[in-house]
Amino acid sequence: MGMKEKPQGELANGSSPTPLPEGSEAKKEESFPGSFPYPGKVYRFNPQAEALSYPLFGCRVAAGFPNPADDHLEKSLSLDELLIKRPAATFFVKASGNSMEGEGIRDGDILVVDRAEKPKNGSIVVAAINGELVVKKLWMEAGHSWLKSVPAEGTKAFSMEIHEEVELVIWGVVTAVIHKF
Amino acid sequence: MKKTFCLVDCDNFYVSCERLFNPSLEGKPVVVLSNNDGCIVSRSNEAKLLGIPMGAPFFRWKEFFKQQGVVALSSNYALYGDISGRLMQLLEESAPCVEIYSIDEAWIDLSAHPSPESFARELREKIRRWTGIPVTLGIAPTKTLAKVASKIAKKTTALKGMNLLFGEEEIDQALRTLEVDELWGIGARLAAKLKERGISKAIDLKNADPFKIRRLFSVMLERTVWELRAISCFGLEENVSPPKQILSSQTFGQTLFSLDELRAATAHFVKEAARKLRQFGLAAHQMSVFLRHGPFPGYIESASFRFMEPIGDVIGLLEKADSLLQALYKPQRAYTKSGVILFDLLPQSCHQASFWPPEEEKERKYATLSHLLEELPKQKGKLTLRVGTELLGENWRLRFQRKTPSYTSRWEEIPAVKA
Repeated sequence: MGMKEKPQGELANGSSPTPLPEGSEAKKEESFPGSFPYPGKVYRFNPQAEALSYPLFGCRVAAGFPNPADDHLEKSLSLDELLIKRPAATFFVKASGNSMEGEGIRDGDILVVDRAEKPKNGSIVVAAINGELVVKKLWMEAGHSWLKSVPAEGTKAFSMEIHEEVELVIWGVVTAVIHKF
Repeated sequence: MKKTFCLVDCDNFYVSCERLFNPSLEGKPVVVLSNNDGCIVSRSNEAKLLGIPMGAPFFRWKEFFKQQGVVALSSNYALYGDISGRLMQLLEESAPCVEIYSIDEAWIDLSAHPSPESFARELREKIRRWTGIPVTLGIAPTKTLAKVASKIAKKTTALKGMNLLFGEEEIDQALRTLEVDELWGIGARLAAKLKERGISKAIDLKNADPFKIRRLFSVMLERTVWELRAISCFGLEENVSPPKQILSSQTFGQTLFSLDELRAATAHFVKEAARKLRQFGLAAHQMSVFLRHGPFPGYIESASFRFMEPIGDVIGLLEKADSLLQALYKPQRAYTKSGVILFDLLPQSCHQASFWPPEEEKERKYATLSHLLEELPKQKGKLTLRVGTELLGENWRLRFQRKTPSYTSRWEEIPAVKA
């Protein structure tokens, strides 16, 4: 870098020191191998490029004036803020299948799932059933709980009763659906 | 003042993270392997019961795993890091004083809390609910005893993941069941020396004369004795001190012979080290590059360089690292690892002006370029802008043949749920 640099051997990680051989500086100037098996451009970094010289005592001047709009600054809108109440407990999953179209969940939609949300009667939930994650509607009545599919109108729905404690099966509560066109 | 420390310790952390997104692993023996699928670094309880030891080399157990239906997975660090971050965030929001101790452990100071027990019970439930990770809580008047409490709780299912250790009789009873090397901060070598002096159980160390221990061993070990006697010597360290040195290195996915391959790997490590350097707002005065060659454990050779002024930009570091590497390289050697260490680290803002006028223009260009190298790939994808040297080879990269998807960090890989 135009300055005097002194290569030196040094201990690293308790290993034995290896002094840098004389003339090693020159080695790095070898050019890159001619052909690249990769697409795209390679810009060579040239450390020997002429540096512009500047006077030693430069004087800095603060420029510009305050932006009059600063007084009226408001945050821009954030979808995170709208859709995620508790980031530490929120996960994204992708719906696969069409058994929930009646609730507006289509194949390929992204679901926002909050694990901290308490499942209520009528919640859309992600549950672990037989080692698989599924999205269903939670139905609770007279001390019993069911997971129900809500397909598009005219299609047969099915439901499954939950026998064990609900907490053990419910993975999280779906708080929003993201559907991209 | 009486103190109350709570250790939050994740159960089989890596395996628990994997199970969160793959419920079919629940109840099965599961292990997670280290880099390059080398050793076993995390085991489910079922795997522990099969007698699979921690740190065992995978290749020796492959056959056994097949017979017993043990699921072996590569490390998915992006996932573990994400889940750990959520857990620590949750702790920070729930408790006033938290010390994050490792990826899966944290301390909480509950000294001022009116009812630590019910707080801890709720916290454990909340962590499980929010992050899906089961944790064990050890609560005691000192950090060393909190570790003991959690250790006992992990062995005793009846405690249900929580153990308060306060009464002298209970403490003694716990210490009678533990070997001295199971205590916090006591490694195998120290334990061997202690055993020579008749201190083999944890209780023996508690009953040892603290002043004699200091004379024979160290102040640190004396403090451990006091801690075992319920007198707190180790407080919470809340402020993460900036690192004294930064190391970035890796064992290669396969043995490398060519200089270009080594240059590509090393360039990558320099970039990683520089990223950490910037993260802490530091500049490095000195850098060293090392290479390991020959059969394991092999030989390590290193070369280092002291910069005229502390340097923070990745371009300057890359340039120098590359020339150090080329000086170290000898053809026909079988290289297995390389790495970069930055040390003599100073805050970027307080470096001493050098006698020579700084090359402002160049510095500014370097800084801009370094910034772009970091930011562009983040915004536009990993391969938009890279250092040319990195393109020289890919063979150094690790192979993770059994890695699960990046469930929480890539849109293309988020878990599918059946609708």
